[in-house]
Parts: sequence; C-alpha cells; structure tokens
Amino acid sequence: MAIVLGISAYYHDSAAALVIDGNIIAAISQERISRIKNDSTIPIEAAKSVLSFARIKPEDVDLVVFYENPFNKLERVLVNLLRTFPRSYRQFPRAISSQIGSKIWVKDTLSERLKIKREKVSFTTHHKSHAASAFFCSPFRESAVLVVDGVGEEDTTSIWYGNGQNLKFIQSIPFPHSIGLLYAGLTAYLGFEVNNGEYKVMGLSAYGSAKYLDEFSKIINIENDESFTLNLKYFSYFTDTETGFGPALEKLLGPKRNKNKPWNLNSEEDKRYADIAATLQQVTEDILKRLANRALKITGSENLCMAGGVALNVVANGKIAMQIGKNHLFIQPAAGDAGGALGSAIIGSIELGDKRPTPLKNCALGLPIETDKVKKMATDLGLSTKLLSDPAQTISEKIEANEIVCFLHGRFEWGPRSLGQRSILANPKLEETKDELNLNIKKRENFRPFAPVILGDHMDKHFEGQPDLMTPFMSTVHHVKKNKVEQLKAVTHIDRTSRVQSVDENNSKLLNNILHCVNKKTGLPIVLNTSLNGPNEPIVASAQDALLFFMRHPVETMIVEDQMISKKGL
Amino acid sequence: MLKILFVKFINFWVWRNPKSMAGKLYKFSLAEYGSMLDLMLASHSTLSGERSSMYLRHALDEARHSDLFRDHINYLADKYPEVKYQPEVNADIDNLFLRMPETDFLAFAYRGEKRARIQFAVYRDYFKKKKLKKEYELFAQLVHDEFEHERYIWNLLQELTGSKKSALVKTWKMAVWELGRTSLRRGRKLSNFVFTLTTIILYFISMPIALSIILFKRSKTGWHRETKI
Repeated sequence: MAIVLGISAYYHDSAAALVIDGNIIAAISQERISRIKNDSTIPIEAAKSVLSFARIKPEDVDLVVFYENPFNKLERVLVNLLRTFPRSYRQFPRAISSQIGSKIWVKDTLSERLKIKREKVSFTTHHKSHAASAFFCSPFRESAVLVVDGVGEEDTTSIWYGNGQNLKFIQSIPFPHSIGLLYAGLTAYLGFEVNNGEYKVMGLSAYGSAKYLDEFSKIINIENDESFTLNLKYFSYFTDTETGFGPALEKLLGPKRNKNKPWNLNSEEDKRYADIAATLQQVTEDILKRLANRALKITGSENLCMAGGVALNVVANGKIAMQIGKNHLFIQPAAGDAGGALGSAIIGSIELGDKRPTPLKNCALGLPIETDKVKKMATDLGLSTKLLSDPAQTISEKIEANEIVCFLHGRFEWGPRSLGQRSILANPKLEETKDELNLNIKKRENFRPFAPVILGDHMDKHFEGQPDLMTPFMSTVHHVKKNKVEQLKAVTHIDRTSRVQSVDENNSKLLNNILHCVNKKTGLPIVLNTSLNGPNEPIVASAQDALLFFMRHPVETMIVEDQMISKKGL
Repeated sequence: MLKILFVKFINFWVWRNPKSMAGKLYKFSLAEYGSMLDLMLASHSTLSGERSSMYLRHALDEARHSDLFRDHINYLADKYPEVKYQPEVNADIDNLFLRMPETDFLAFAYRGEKRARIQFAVYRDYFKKKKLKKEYELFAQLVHDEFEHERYIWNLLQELTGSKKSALVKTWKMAVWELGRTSLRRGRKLSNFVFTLTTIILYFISMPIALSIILFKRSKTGWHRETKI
C-alpha cells in the first residue's frame, strides 16, 4: 500500500503522475499548467497539482521515482561529445552546462522543491519507464514491449517482455543509431521544429510518394536481424541538437526547406518535400514493422505494447496493427517522454508491493474544470451564460447547424490528444469546416487533417475496421469506407485515412450521449473532434485557459459541462 | 526623460529597414506573450475572484498585442522577401506572481506598463511623422491599451496598499528590485561567458581522452545486452 509519484523532465515534455495502492490517480503534463508548449522544466507545479488533487501531503509520499538515470546519461553525452572531437566544441559547453548545472542534481531539486526527504527519491531507467507505462496500462497479462524513441540514457530502441507484475529487458540498440533522431533530423530538414513538428511530417507524407527510397538506402541500413545503422555523415545531432541534419543530407536530397514559409502543395518545390516526407514515413513504417515482428518472435508472445516518441506515429501504428492483429497491439496514449512519469510511478508502486494498475480505460487523468469559476469569469468578461437542461441535445443542434463548438467536460486528458474533455467539436461533413478550423482557429498548415469521434458500435459502417485497443485513445488510423468519403470530408485525409476515436458508454458517457443525439439529428454518429488550443499552445486545462482561448478565436459557443457561454452582447 | 531622448535618438536605426523592423516587432511580440503567461499565472493564483477576472482580461490584451505584432511581421513578410514569416511565438514565463507578494507584482506590472506606454508613444509619433499609417495605427492602439492597464493597476495598487503614498513606495522598491535583477542578469551573462570559455579550454585539453575514445571506444551498432527469456 504505497503512494508513489513519478516524474519525467528535462528533455521534451515533462510530467508528474501519482499512483496510490497500485491505482493511477492522476497524471499531468507540466505544459498544461505552465502554458508553455512541450515544457521540459522540472514539473513541480504538475507534481503539486496531482498531490493536491488527491489531497496528499508531500510528507505522505512513500517514493518519488525519476524516469531516468541522469548519471548514465551524462556518461553517454560526454563520451559522444568527445567521440566527435573537435566538431562538438560548440555543443560541449551547452551540454555540460545543462547536465552538470541542473540534470544531475534532480534528486536534490525534487526533494527541496517538493519538500520530500531526499532518500525517498530514486531513479529508474528511461526505456524501462516507457516500457512500464505501456505494458502495465495494457489489458495484456503477458506481452512483448517495444520502445522506440530518440534516445534515453543510451538506448534508442529496446525490446522487453512483460508478464504479470514483471518486466524483463531483452535487448536494445544504442545511440547514435536512432529512428527517433532520423525522424527528427528530417523534420528539421523539412522546415519544422524538432520535437514539435514530427506529426506534421506524418500528415504531409500522405501528399507525396516514396520517390527517394534509393537516397534513403544511403542514409539508413537495415540488417537481417532487424537492427539498423544510420550513416552518421548525414546527421549532426552530436554537434547541433536543434538542426539534427548535416550538409551531406542537403547534397543528397537537395536544399532544406525554409522554416515558416507558407506551404503550397501545388508547387513543384513543396511536392518534392512531400515526397521526401512520404519516403521517410515509409522507411519508418518498414523498420517499425520489422521491429514489431522481432519483438514478438523473440518473446514468443502474440501481444505487443509500444511506447517512446516514435509510437506516436499513428499511421505506422495502424500498419503494425494490420500485421499483428488489431487486438494484439496497445499503445500507451502519452507514448512520449511525459509517459515516462506514469511508467516510473508504476515501477515504484510495484517495487513497494502493490499490484499493477487496472487497464487504462480513458485518459481523463488531469484536473477537473471548475464550472462555477468559468461562469463567474465569463460574466465578468461580458459574455452571456446559460444553464442547459440537456447539453448533449444543444451540442447536437449546433453541430447540425454547422456551428463550431468548444466543449469542456470533467478532468483534462493525459497525453497529446483531445479525447472529448477539452475539445473543439464540429460537423464532419463539410470540407469548409476543415478550412475554417485550419485557417482561422488553429492557424496551421492547410494539409493537416482532423480526426473524428464515432460511436464504437457504428464504426464498421463508416470505417474499415472495428474499435480496437487503440481507437479509444486516437493512437491509430483507419481507412474511411469509399462510399462514406463524401459524408466525412472534414475528417478524411487525402490518403482516405482517419485518426478515428471510438467512444462507448464506459469510456465517456457524455460524449457517447452527444454522439447519439447527433446521430438522431444528422444520421451520422460522428463528430469532428480536435484539440482545444491555438497555434503552438498547450491544450486548454483550466477555466482561465478556456476563456482566453474562447475570447481570442472566432468561435461563438463554448459549452462547459451544463453551462453555455456565448459572445452575444459583446 | 533620458529614456525618451534615447529612444527618439535611435529610432532611425531601429526602424531602418523592414527586416530590422520585423526583428524589433518580434521582440515586442515575445515580451507581450511572456506578460500574458505571467498574468495568466496571476489569474490562477490570486485569492480574489474579482482580481482573477481583471488579470484574465489584462492577459487577453497582452495576447492580442502579441498577435498584433506577429501579424504585422507577417504583413511585412508578404511585402518584403527578406522578412521571414512568424507563424508562432514562444516565450518563457518569469513566474513573478509566485516569487513575490501580489502588491509587488502589481508595482512591477505598473512600472512595465508605464515604460511601454512612453516607449510606444515615441514610436507612434515617429510613424506619424514618417506617414507610415499601418505602423502608426498599431502603436496608437497599443499606447491606448497600455494607458488603460497603467490606470487600473495603479488603482488596484492603491487599494491593496491602503494609500497613494504606500503605492508609490512599492513602485520605488520595485525600481530597486529591477535594478538588482538587471545587475544579476548582466552578472549571469558574464558568468556564462566565463563558463563557456573555461569549458571550451577544458574540451581542447581533453583531446588525448577524446583521441583514445575515437580510437578505442567505437560507437556500437546492432543489438546489445541480450537477455534470454
């Protein structure tokens, strides 16, 4: 019976998670609190939030587990900087400053700032945290586990075997050969921001064809044992973590794309970049499928759990699921570094003798929305408020009338997806809705797709497939049925795929009701569901965040639980 | 007064071409976005529901200002190829509200708004003279908003400190605090420079270790540390 706090920090998206007596109580990314996208700072505010949500005093915490070992990481960083001597002279002071200046003191920082005794703070390892977050949240009793990311302490890819309460390391591929860093380097080459633009590359890839396979065969070599080797002359992540690729890559693939230049996929220039993205995506999918097969083969399991930043590649996940069977693949929804906080908390909990958690059913692990506060502040801002007797009915009427509605309900989501707790909902039928959302509200590239949410028991009528272990979390894609594309224009990507979320009464009662009402009105049990945030902002968490978003964007209605806020009278 | 003269004096240099103009506007956009984050934190953290709404309204203005600056950069990018588009702005938060009492935070914000209003008024007049209508309108709008912020914060500060005199004392104290902060920032810049120089020297002294790593500790490829189930 233990109270365990898991922490991930310092590289990408930091987070805190709380497990009590083996149950996942709360898990929050720091960005949701600090309002800084991909905030990697030590998540003190997130940690305090999960503790105060559970009404736990810091002194009652039995164990704090940090998701990686900073000393092992320091060793890898130093060795690799010296290995690339003298090219890494500019990176050296920065790396030393961040490693020795803050990262190795993480036990002291957590102890001092959370007011928890230092001896209660421990480390686990980066890939073990990822693996634990995937396996112990899955419904599988036993499973192979595949972790693929940029890099942890040293590993970039690892295979594990989970059985009951146990998680056993099998094998790994060490830095610098990394699928995550390959994808990140090409992300930078295509003019997107590393750690923030990878999913844009995935969306872009559908607009191109894999015409650069010969060139990519020079960049990455796949061995017969499914391991891979990067040709390091094309990369610069030892010496420049922001760019990640070297001049040789430009010689091979042509000039890099200018950052921030508006996209025009009708131009020859941008078509070339789309082809490069498509090639990268195909190569990544091919490697991941091979790695998945290897993990299953050497563990003898028929189930697979995946985590690590690369497991957020929903298109690849869909293809792996096709290969191994849709109900044999589970992806932890916060598969990136934030997920490490959850994994490390579970590891600590099991080490202290608690049972593993029950399988993750939904992602509402954040803080609840304070409806009274929203109502009061909305009134102070001159907005009009109205109590709804049937919110699901009102939302369905607005969707039928092609209105875009902001919708907030319960605790905010864990992970990068909006799953109906902090969402923008709209009619999925009209292409204009997609353009309106992309151009005026989300202000993002016009090639980016939107996702639908559907009643699970209607899924096979509109999509090629049934609900599976990933669809409740939007961790995979399905093809829209050919005869339904016309009806689902706003949520069908150019390659006819869709990152569909399935809902039933068990994982979201209110969203389930909304979809039933929409079905009655429009004949479609489907709604467009996108995250409630503006460009480069974290998804809305609190009452203030919701009102800030609502006032800044051309949306007329926001429904918070049973309160309708509108701009009438402003 | 000296500040106004200085800002007027360097106007020609700050706004010398579209690229330099975009650079300056980007800094303003960042500053406004950072203020927005700090005010959102204030709105979350204050114990008064009334002030929470006030800070939220202020945060909305700061977000709008950040957008106005960014939109103007993109307007320049449409006209001049040398100006880069700026679709997003990322700023850091100072967490000021958590680091000081609310009245100190207000005194700090008051000084910031006043400073911005004076500086933006110089720019507004400059663009009026130059007959650059869009830029003039941008800064005229900002001067108006900064004045409103200055006024409400001053009223609030007087209310919370109990008198005009106490409010004034708070602003003086914050002036001293800001001076200290500026000195610390300069000190940090200097220590960063010394640190960078020292570590680069250390890096080159480590050459024999680096060479031995290059020769004897090759990077690994393939699968490693295999364990049987």
